[in-house]
Amino acid sequence: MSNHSFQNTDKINISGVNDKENEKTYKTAALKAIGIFLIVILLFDLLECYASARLVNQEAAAYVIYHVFLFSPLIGCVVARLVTREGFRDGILWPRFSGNAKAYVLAIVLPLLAGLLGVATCAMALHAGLTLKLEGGLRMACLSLLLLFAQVYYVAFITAGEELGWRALLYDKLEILLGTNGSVIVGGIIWGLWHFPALYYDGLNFGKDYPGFPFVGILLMCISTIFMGAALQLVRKMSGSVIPACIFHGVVDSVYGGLLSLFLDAELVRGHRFIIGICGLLVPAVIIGLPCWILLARRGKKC
Amino acid sequence: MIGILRKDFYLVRTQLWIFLGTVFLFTVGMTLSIKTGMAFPSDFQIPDDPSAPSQNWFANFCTALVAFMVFLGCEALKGNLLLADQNKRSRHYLMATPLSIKGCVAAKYYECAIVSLFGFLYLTIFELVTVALTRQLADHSLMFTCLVFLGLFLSALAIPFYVLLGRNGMHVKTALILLLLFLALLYGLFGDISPFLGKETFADRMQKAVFSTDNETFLSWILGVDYPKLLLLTLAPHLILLLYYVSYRITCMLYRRGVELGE
Repeated sequence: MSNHSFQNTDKINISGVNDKENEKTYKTAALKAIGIFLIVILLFDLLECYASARLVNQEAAAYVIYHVFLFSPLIGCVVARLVTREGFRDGILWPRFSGNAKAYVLAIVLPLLAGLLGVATCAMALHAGLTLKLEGGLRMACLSLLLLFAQVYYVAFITAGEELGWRALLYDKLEILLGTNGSVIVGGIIWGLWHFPALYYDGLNFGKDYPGFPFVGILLMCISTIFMGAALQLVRKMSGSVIPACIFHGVVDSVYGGLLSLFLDAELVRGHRFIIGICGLLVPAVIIGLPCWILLARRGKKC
Repeated sequence: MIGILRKDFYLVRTQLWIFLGTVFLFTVGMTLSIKTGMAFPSDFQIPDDPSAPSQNWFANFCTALVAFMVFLGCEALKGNLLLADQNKRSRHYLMATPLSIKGCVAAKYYECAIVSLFGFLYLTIFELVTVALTRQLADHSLMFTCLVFLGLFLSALAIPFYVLLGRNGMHVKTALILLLLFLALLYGLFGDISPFLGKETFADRMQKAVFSTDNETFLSWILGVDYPKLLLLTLAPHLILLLYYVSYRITCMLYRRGVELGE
């Protein structure tokens, strides 16, 4: 009896200690996973920087390295999960269509809305006016848009290489350490910095001839990815799956540029890349991302 | 659900290894051929078509062959997966699990989609290797995407046949597809194809398709088609996914009816 009551007392005392130890263990494991992930993506970033700087005349090699670089977050996630022995049993790759239609609809509607907002903002900023720029008129415009949407499946497959790193590992682990808001901010910054090779060598989104190149571009990119990341993390949390986030990212990458070319003159776009980048990417990302962030924070508090 | 997928892939593990081994060996053979084929002049043009841009036609040809081989292998593997648990007892056991009929049927559709996606991933990696070897840019993603959706389309048609007729259903489906292909080939070679392909002959088109499968020429080949057909082509991926879902619902209905009749 005395042993039994001693054990019961022990259990009451130990459970509080076990909770704290468990929390410490989870945080340590999360930190370890993030560390491994960051090392892997940093290595691929350096490789891509080397390819962009030194392999300018070797298009094929640069092409191969670029495509491997696109999958570096996925490689980082796989390595981190294998090293920390977390495995892949959490089913995050599972589509989970049942009961999550809202997440899939948002994954298509939100980026489309952002794209249209971007076009409207660019047109206002450049005093361009919103008219179709194709010779064939509405018919060809519809066809072009449909072609872009047909590309979404292929682009979503490529962007899965990113989402399976950011949303399937980084953001979740950061949330354990820093909470929902912290994970969105820090995850967004890391995601933005990951784009450094493309921003610096190829003038991604903002071009190269703006004041403060490349630091201003990196800052603006990080702000965009913070807010865009909030929207992506929201659809991921709503469905419990990373597939809606892949679709979201796929729509952004395939449809955005197409919408701009439908409504804005090619020469206008070429000559004002910095303004297009701010109006076409940053402004819609903030407008769409902010309400998503608020919803995400509310979900985090409920859990 | 994941348990059922794991079970089915485990049941076909022999065929899976044979498929992977065959495709890998074929790919290695093609890769070595491409490396050897680099002895050909790199500005070799398509025969009898001096207006075509210069390209490494041999690499394109090998890529098309590998893509076709992977596609066939994936279709064969899907057939094996569908027939994996023909045993009635295991089927009844599966229906007693919390997943019930919908889950069992959904597992088959997921398996077919996973195999198609694996084929796409394999071909993408193969293309990167080819680009590294030949040091010439090539992008066949459009062709690979078309093959994936073609695979999904065939699966959407095949799975209800399998549920309705079992192993015999798969044989009937294969025979029907081969017959249709044979009739299409006969018509293409001897019939009037001008409403479909314009003034070129079928043989010219096939030659161009096989030797010029990179995205740019593939797209310009497609864009030569008139507007309604082009509209259908752009809507095809979405329609095929819709068909895939409709096929799933029909299969659930057929499966349930089969269970009721069995009882």
